[in-house]
Amino acid sequence: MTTEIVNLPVPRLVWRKRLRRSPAATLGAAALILLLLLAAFAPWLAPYDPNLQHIEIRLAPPSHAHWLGTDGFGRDLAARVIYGTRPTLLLVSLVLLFTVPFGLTVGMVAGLGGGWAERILMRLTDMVLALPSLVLALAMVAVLGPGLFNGALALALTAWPAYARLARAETQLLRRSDYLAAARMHGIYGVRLVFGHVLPMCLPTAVVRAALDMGGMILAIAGLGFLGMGVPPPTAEWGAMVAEGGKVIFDQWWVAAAPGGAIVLACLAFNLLGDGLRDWLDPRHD
Amino acid sequence: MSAVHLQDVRVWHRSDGRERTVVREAALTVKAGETFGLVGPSGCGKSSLLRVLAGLHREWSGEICLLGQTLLPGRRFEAGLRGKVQMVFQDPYASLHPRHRIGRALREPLLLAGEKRPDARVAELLAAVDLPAAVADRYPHQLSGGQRQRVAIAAALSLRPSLLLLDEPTSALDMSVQAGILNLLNRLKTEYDMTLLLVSHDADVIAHMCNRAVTLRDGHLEGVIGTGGDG
Amino acid sequence: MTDTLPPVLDVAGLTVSFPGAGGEQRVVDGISFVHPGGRLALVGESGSGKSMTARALLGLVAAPGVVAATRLQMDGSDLSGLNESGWQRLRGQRIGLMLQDPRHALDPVRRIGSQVEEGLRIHRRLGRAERRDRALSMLEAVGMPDPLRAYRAYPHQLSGGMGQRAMLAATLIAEPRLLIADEPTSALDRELREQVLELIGAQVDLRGMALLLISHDLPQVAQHCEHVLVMHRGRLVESLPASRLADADHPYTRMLWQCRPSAATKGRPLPTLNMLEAQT
Repeated sequence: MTTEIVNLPVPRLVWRKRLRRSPAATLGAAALILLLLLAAFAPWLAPYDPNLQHIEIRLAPPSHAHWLGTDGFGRDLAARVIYGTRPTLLLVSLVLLFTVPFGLTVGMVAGLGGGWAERILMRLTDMVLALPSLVLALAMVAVLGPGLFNGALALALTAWPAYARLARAETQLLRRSDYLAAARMHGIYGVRLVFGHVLPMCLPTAVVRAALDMGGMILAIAGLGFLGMGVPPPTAEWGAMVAEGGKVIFDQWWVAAAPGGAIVLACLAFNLLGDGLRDWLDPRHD
Repeated sequence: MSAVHLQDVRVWHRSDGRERTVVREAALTVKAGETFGLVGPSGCGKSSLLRVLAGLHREWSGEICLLGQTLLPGRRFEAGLRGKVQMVFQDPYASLHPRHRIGRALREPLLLAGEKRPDARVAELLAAVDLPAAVADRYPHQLSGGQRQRVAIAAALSLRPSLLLLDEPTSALDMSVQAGILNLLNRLKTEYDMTLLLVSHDADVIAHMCNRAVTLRDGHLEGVIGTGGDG
Repeated sequence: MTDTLPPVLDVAGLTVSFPGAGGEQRVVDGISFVHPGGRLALVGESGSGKSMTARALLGLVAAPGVVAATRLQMDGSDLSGLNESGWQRLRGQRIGLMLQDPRHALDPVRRIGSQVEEGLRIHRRLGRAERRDRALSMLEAVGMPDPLRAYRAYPHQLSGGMGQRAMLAATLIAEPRLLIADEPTSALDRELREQVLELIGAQVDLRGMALLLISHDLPQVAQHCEHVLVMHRGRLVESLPASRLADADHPYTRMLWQCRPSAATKGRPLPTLNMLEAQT
């Protein structure tokens, strides 16, 4: 029995092999990498300056010179879609940075602590969960003024409870587990127990949830932009671009379709990735 | 000095605001260096009593003295006692963190205890339970049931306990694997100079392992049995 | 018919293999045995292939597993060519299966009564009242103290031992020719194990059924079976009458026979697999 184990190769799955197993996730990951590259190298990749106006060629249809056409100010749509990845991704990352750590911590502390701590934290979570997120975000932006940081803050304020509930549900199951009991018996308590032992069990679901949420987040960000509450003009932003295109949608459909398509693709990428991550992050899934 | 001394101990569980007593008027003394058995059918409260002694269940009253230190109901163990009392659980799959490699699981308590050369100690612990050092790179799900239970025993030994609590350590295992684990426990008991408190539903296992044993039925301890060759 | 009835099971060269990383893995490697009737035990440890053998006999080996056999007969009729509906008729009607843990094997949201009756519903044409009568008498036969209460209970309301009795009732009700019990007692306490094995043996004898008892506990099954097969790593290493186990030839059988702890073994190390490997 003890001799067998040495001969067994440790099954460490190669990335390539994992990718082949889930083509949808691969596609999502590839699309996400593409978006990141576009955002990082926008100045080199964009065919034109996104804010350069050419009134004489306004609302030009897609052509060799302008692959996606031009908008109402004669700005190149391809360049603007490429530049538009920047505020979107930045906002998504900011929101995640606010919500996931905060939500997880609240949930884990509540789930592990039990008693009064749990009751207070979870009632607070329920209260925030009852708030209409986009409406609240609009109100906040209206008060604080439009901008990247304020937009992120507004969205984050209502996005964290989902992670708190998730983490609490997972932690409650763990609370009675033998391995946490064993850890306590080894003198592992408090922060070490929460982040070293509980977090690894909650993280995979949270990451999957985050990846699936990001699609919705992109829509919310675009929604803010569409209503003129996002990044102030003339910065290229997909939601604001769709709003502009909406005015001429029956005659020059491409003005709205270009950023709209970008939004759809970005959402799809994150959803596919979320599905794939769920499988990858489970070590028992060989 | 007695390793364990209980006097008039009551243990209860609280659910939905109601108390349910699972052990009442328990009194027993385990001598240092002996293997003491606790037999009884499932649901008789023997695991609850063991978890009290492990410091995992704090809802009890009465008088408990472990290794010369008096415990207080509702309170965590003092730091000095914590490492001295360790436990091996019934289901080896559930008692190891599924996302920690064996090496990490064994190293963490050592580091917390201020061990200078943790890697050498991990290798030593694995050798003590007859596992190759390569096991340190594995996850629990990559090991067999018997191997996992050996790892759990190694983890319990890492802080050099004086009292080892065993909660049905072999009832989830095959017969020959059980034999290996029981042999190992007997060997380690001498090597580490420990007192063993073994809980089991299997009277044969108790008879094989223990100097003395008590039966727990419906929360009551019934008579101490010396099981031959009292040492 | 003649006085030489065909054996209940006649198996030759049974192999179950799975495609693995290092080529085909044989979980069951060409085993042959005959079940003449009565009580036969198949003993081995986890990974020995004993449960896979049972699955193969029931046509329950799932893809990508492959079952092959030179002969696979029950009561003289060939099983190897059966299609899925043929296997379904075989299971329950001619072979009953009893599993380890009633908490997993019973449906948690259906009453015991309806689960016990299921065998009758599928395989026999009976009225409701008659089904109920039969189920109640079966529950009584397996030693339920209050059959009517058990009939109305949900699985979680029964203890482990009672759950296992309910499973036995559900298996026996269709009056199969062969009962395969796969580790029927390993989820139970020591005291209950004896009782349940006793009950299985008594019921099997009473109904003239054949029993294939699968277990990892050789000394225990030896008390309840007439003949014992020992499996190790997919192969049959021993086949002998239970009465002759004490002087078995194969070192693995001897190890299984002696590794059970007891008051008599106190103070001595128990034989284990590792010692065995060190010797050979």
